[in-house]
Amino acid sequence: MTDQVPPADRLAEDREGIGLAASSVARPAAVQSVGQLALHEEPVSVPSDRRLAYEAGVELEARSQWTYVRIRFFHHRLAVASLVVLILLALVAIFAKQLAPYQYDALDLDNIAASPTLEGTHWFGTDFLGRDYLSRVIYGVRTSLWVAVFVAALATAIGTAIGAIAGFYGGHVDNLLMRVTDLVLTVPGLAVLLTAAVFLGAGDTKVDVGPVSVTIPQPMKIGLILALLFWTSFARIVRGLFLSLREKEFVEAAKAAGASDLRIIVRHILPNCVGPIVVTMTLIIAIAILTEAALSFLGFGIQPPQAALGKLIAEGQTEGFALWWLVTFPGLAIVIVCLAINFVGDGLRDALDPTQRRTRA
Amino acid sequence: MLTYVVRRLLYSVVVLLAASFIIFSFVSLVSDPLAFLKMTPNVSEQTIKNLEERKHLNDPIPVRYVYWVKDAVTNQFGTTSRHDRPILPDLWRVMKNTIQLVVVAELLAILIAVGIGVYSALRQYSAFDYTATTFSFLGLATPVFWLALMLQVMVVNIYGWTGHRIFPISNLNSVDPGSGLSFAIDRAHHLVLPVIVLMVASIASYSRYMRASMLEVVNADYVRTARAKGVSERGVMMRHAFRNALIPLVTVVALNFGALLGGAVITETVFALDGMGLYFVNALGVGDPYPIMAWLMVTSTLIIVFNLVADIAYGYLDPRVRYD
Repeated sequence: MTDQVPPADRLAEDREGIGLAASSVARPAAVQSVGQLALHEEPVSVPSDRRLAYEAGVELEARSQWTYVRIRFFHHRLAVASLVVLILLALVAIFAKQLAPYQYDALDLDNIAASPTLEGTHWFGTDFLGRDYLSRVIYGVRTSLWVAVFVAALATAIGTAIGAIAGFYGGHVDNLLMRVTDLVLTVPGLAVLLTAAVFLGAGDTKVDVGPVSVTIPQPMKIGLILALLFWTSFARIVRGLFLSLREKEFVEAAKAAGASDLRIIVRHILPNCVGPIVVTMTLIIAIAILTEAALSFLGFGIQPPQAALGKLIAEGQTEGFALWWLVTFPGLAIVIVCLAINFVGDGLRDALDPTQRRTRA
Repeated sequence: MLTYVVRRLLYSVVVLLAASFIIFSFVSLVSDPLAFLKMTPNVSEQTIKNLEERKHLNDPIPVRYVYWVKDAVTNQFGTTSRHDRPILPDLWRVMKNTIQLVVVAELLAILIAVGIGVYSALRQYSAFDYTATTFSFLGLATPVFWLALMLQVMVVNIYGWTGHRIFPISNLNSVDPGSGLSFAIDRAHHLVLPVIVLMVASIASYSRYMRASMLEVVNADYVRTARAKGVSERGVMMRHAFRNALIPLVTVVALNFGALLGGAVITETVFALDGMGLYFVNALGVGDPYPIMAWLMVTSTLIIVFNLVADIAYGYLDPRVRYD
């Protein structure tokens, strides 16, 4: 039945023509049932399980799609545990100033190159300058998470907007998008990132926009570079979803009801793309953390004295491998954050898949 | 098929030109390849002026770009700005080293990942499957440079405790590697840690792909048909399921391989291996557009070729795919 519906763009061309007439004939069943509901007082199409429950005297709670999502997610134990870990880490990052035992650049010259110990206050040890590594790691996580969330938000916004427009309208916009994607695919990603990082330079940048002077802090600059590379994954996914969704009956119905293009895109199609977008976001956050760490490690990312996990590891490398804790702890922090994000993403993928009615036992 | 390949290649040339112009402008705008020479006391003003003149460093960027294209086509990418060193021979040398590293690591990774993936799929939800899944998640969450450093830390600390140096932690060869067989052994010894690092990430992602595609194939109709006509379980798995499950992996491996030939930038940096990646990072540090552009062209071409190989291989292995 659905196969008979002509593509939406053809429908748009002959709105009063045969296309629309044919499609409304093509699905009489749905039209009729709606008609009956409107005409008769008596509810004809009450869901049978609800009626059965009513007759048995049982209260049946209606479950929305989101309830199912929540139930399925909370049955994925690893994902829930990871979410808890992530929330805790985020809280530590947000309240770093209150929680960190020392300032990240404070020197404790009585305890230089101290190995990790649970007795004193330097749980993760100190470096050759006596800087407390627990505090530095906490501030590093703060920087990393900040960059990652910024990248994910920006890349999602750009990618979704472009993907939606390309997928909905097709034609030239779509062509242009695919060409840009090809460009990004052809050039080695890390090379672009490194070149762009050199291009934008180290430290904070002052940008004069007319009379206003805006200072872009360095983590935000790294975030901008990463977002400019990562938006393509969102654009491609959203474009694909829009290409298939724009042919669906509910879009046709919205068009027939006179909805504007913007309304159809935002209110009708976009909510159906939330699942894949959210899952891609988790993937991008993890990749952004790993890439930012690699950039900072190579010396093209965040510069000292600001604490970034990649930079901390690089400092550990230059200070010699005998101080193993300088390399170990920042790296472990990255692994834990990325692992937790990936597990949450895995749980969300299962939970947000509407074809999966079964909840995990 | 031929028209498809030709069209793709023609289109790639356009993309390459666009990408090269953007990167060339980026690099030229910010960095001065002669900055180091200008700070060196015994280099005269005249020498620098001559170099600038000869390398057209004072011209507008579009003009310099055209000079670069001319150099690239007629003069094998030209010479470096600072030392006038021919670029192409250096590039071939580092590429040879990178190919050694990447081919060994990828071949081993494919063998191990296919084994893990197939076994995980055949014993879905078994203890082995869960363990493999956990480790692949761990592998994907571990930064490559950190893994490399941790291996170095391990080796160094073992040396500190026992006085035994298990593996060298940097460079491609010892100072005096000898020749013939002893050279090869020395090289292999130096490549152990880098190969392990490269393998981990590849195994983590390949084994996931292999598991997923094997699971899909095992439940396919033609596998049931094969069972129904009396093929032995082993025959069904090897001849019908396994061979088809490999097809998606071919694409993934080809794409990854193309990207890796551009140099495992991080692995080569940490282990100080004289490969494509380190070459690029060093060139970027100097800020000389010419070696950077040469590297970029070679790498991008490799990526384009391997993307094409991936598509053609897919069409060849899966007769349902047709390119028009």
